[in-house]
Amino acid sequence: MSESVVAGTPLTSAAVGWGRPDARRLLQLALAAIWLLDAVLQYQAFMFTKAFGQMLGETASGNPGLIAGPITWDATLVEHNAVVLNTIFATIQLVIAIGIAWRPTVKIALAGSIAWSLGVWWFGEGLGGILTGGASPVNGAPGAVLIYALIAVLLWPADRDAAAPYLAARAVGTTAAKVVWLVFWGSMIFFTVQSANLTAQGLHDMISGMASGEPGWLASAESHAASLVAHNGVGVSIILAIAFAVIAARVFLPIRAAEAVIVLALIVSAFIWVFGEALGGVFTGGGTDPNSGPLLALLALLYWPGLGAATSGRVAAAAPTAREPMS
Amino acid sequence: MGPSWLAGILAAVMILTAIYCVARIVISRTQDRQAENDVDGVHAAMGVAMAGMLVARLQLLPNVVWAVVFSLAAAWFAWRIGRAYLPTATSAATGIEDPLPTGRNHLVPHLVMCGAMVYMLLAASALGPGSGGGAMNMGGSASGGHLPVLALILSVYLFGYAVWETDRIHGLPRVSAQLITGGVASAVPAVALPGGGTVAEAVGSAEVATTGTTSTAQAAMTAPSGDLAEAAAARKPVSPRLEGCCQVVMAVTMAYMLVLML
Repeated sequence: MSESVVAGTPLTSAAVGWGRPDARRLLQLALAAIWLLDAVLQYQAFMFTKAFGQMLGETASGNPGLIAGPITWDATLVEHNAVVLNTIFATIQLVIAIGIAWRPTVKIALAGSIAWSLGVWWFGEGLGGILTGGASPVNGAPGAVLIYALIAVLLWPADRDAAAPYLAARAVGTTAAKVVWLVFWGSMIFFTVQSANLTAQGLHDMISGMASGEPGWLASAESHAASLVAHNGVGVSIILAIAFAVIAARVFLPIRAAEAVIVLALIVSAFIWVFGEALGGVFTGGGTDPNSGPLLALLALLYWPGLGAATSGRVAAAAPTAREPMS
Repeated sequence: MGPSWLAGILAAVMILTAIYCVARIVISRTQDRQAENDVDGVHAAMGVAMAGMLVARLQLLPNVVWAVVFSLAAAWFAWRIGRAYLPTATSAATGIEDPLPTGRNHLVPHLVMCGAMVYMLLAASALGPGSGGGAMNMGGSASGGHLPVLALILSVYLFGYAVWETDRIHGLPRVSAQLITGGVASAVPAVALPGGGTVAEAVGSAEVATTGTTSTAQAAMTAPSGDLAEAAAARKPVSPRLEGCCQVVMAVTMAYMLVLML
């Protein structure tokens, strides 16, 4: 505040020392809030027990030896030092959250979140199971933490493309943003139509399995959803794959159609989060994060047409000082 | 349920926060500095009550009594918010909307936090005799199906508030004698205003508005220029940045306690 006064900004600017967040900053704050939720979930009692290490060890199953070996080593280490290591894990996530929310440290925190996410993707999620042949977007593939890293890259406070048609393009440029979107949602198609997921009961078993330990209303919703897809796993998976294909095509569509596709992506994200992921298992006491649903929604919002272009002008106007990494 | 050592640390932090909030009230009274005494008072009570919920030995009052206290506090903030939405005498007379409606948005989180306290205290009470305070630690059980969705919604709100407030803290003014009496005055041309005030003084007053702790700056923006001198003679606020930090810490701790109740 005092800086802007010293810099001789007008009285009105001085009175409003805090630049109201623009769209990108708001999404950065949303990412910070999700990291904060992660941190708090990581501080739950379950995470300080051997069971957490065992849970990590289970992600090695089905992975090639090169990937599984370090996971097993890490899981054993966590099992034997659960309190110390989990305290460190939770605190790192807390620091990342606060770092993103605190404007002067947003870059270093986003960089830290990328590094941490990639580490957790391997050691905590077994690369989201993408090498096991059984990964499904319905239960989080290609891995929630990978999406954290992706969003952190796309929310990086840089402006490579002054005429960015959406927020994601501001940080990495329009072409790179298109490639990211295509590859990501294209991979969702691939995982959906893997042979393990194209079975009559595969989706039913996956959804009904999520009901365990959930409160009554959520368990009931899971059971109903599971009964709806019972014996129709192949058909539902193909419909889901078509939906992912339509979403992937967003980068080739005109604005109106692109908006509709983003709405579709938000709906699919909500469907996955509620029925496939049971809200990340946060009600069970054993959930470490809200899983991929909210991250998919956040990713979709980064590609909302016109969002980046519409606010870029306001960013400069609202920035408290020129040297602050506001967004 | 969380580990008891973590509950102990958080209880200590809450007590420190409560002490700081009491200190703010004392400072504002004895040194004639600006602060929202009602907010600080409620935060002090929250700190003590939350410490009691985290560590049973620190419980000063029964949960039901605390629940009544925070229900009354919630009603107070609801009334203040409602009052802030009513047109002021000035805006009604001039037709110009209040440019700095500090009384509206910044009070909503306090209302929600009071509501969250009531929820947690009643849920803890519903656990039955013997649970008492300390329901959040390893030895107790905070769960039990007390509208866990409400706990999730409240915690998500508090996470959002915590990051929003953290983002805002950086833009809050550093309040020091130098800033108010020397720094600003020397940086901003001391243009005399009608009535004897200066632009620099008006800036000092207006800065205070970003904290939501005073209506003096609003008066400076809306009052006729002849009243600027009076408005510019604003009292220094009590450390808005530290107040913001306290709110962040309190929101995160409360969200943690709510997550334990899922």
